[in-house]
Amino acid sequence: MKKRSLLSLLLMLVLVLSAFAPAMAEEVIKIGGIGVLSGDYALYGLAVKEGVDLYVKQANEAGGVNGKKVEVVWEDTQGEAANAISAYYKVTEQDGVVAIIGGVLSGESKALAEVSAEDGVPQISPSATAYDVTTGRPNVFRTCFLDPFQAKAVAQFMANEGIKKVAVLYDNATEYSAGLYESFKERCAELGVEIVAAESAAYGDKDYKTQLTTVQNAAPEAVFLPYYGADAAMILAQAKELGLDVKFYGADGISDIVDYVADKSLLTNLVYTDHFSTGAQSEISKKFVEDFQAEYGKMPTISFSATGYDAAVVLLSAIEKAGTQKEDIVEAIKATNLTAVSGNITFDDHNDPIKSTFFQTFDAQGNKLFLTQVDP
Amino acid sequence: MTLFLSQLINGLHVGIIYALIALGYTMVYGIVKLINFAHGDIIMIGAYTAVITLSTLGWSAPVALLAAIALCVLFGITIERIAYKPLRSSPRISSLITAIGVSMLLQNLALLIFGAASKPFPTVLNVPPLRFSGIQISFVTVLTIVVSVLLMALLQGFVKTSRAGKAMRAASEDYKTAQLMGINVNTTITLTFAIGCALAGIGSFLYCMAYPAVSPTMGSLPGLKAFIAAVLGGIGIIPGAMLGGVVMGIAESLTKAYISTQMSDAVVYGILIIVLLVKPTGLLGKITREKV
Repeated sequence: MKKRSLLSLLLMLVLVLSAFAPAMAEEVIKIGGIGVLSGDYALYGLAVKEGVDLYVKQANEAGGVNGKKVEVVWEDTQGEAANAISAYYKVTEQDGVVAIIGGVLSGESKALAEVSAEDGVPQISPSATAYDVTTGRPNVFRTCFLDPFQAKAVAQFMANEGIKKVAVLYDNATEYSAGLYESFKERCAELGVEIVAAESAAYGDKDYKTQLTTVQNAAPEAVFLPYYGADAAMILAQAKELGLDVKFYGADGISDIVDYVADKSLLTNLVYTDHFSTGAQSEISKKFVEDFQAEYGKMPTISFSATGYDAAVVLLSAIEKAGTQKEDIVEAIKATNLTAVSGNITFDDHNDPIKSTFFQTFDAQGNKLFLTQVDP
Repeated sequence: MTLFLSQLINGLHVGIIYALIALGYTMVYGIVKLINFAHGDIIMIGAYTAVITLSTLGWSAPVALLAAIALCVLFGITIERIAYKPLRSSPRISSLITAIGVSMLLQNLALLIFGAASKPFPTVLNVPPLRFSGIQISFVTVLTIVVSVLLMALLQGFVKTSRAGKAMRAASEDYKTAQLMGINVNTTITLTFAIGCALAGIGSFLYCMAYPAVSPTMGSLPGLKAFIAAVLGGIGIIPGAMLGGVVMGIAESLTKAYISTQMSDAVVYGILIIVLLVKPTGLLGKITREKV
């Protein structure tokens, strides 16, 4: 009998304490951080996390948001859409987050967006570049630009450089490459830049000499390569073999090329667009790079650190203005107009950011070199 | 015209590499009637050996090449002894399945040891492209073609004139009778594997100079293409493998250049189907009558 009463006393204590818990939670604003933090793509998720955590820490040190501390509850998806959905229910139902930063990959972000759109919970992805993540979902935003945007920026950049004749080598079996080519072609037509050769390669091809010979024969002033790093490395090496000595232009996917080339001097011929550059000249960007180095002891070389930081900036400034009601936050994000680390950010009808593009190249040691920042 | 010539040379470059690998398939098939599907992965082993000795250990290119050849031969002989020899008298399907198994084993082993990401192959030769009256030809292409043609001539001479070559030919005609005539068939088979793998080792080096990326699955596509080249030329026949490889490479390159990139594999396989329909033994194949 005695034992039982002790047990019930304990149970009561637990009940009372748990009743207090939500009341204590009022003192902090919780945000969900959902993304791939382990596995093959962990690199990107961890970069995002470092950026978000850095801004949240700075905001808390400056007194928090409306006097409340901000806490990010991180959940690892391992890159799986199913895990993103269970993480969403965990953070919204158990932790009571007011908004979500994530996902990191396009696939998981789409799954996440599907469930968050039902509840109207504000969501900002720092890195999902697939077009339809935000389509028809007024609560979903992102702080990275999309593929068509950067393809057009490249065309514009070439036109500004006085280039009149370009060739394109692309992979028409991947959405990324073919999509970039379509947008590039469109913008080139508007700008009066002539595409003298457009060669495609089949998926998994290693030999590009045939296409490069055709390109060489058309005598372009520059070549647009909408490829990821591994393939682009192969193309640059073979272009050198053939003596095709022109400037090559790529988009964000090419930025990991450094890991795939042994002869880094090949890269001095390559210019590409990025979401951020550690060499950016604006005050706020310089401060971000300094703070990031002080916090983590390394450079924010993966640009999703910057877009992650910006996602936190956009979200917290919206919460500061509108409070913690989800409809109000969504409205405040939509009205965003602020200068963040990766340039000035406003959102268009499709909840995509209208922001700056950073052009980078490489030195002969394979370090990224900042060329210029192009504002919209 | 110069463009056509350039594209022809591009095709020759790819084709001659197929031919070099195809020799390994065709020689082994000629003797033991085994399609050694692990042959493509021997190229991967050669490539990893070369990239590690060059980049990590800092060896010079000729030494790295020798290391690649040595390791390829070692793997080839070991695989033959462990996986194929015990199955020599069992149904042919068993050794075929074993070959696929060995191929998977090698790929996954490499995946485990080196990871999935491809490693860059360092630049071995930094020579500007050569010019011949308006055509630019990459030095690697010229080197690949010269080296391969030389090797093929050597191989042909070896098989035709030397005692070991004669033993190989005898074993390929009828290895039971060859055994009765006092030929050591086991040694001959080991030698065949060793020569095939040595060629694959050189092939892997030339392949990496042209396509400087080394990954666990890099051998499967050239391996498959080389196998098709061997069948196209007439499997089991050494000049057939060379011809098959070159025909395939040129067909691929010209299709890419003048028809469409996506069609290149379709055209190559189309040629294979037509050849096999018209001449089921391949381009240089001889008709062999079933012995009663």
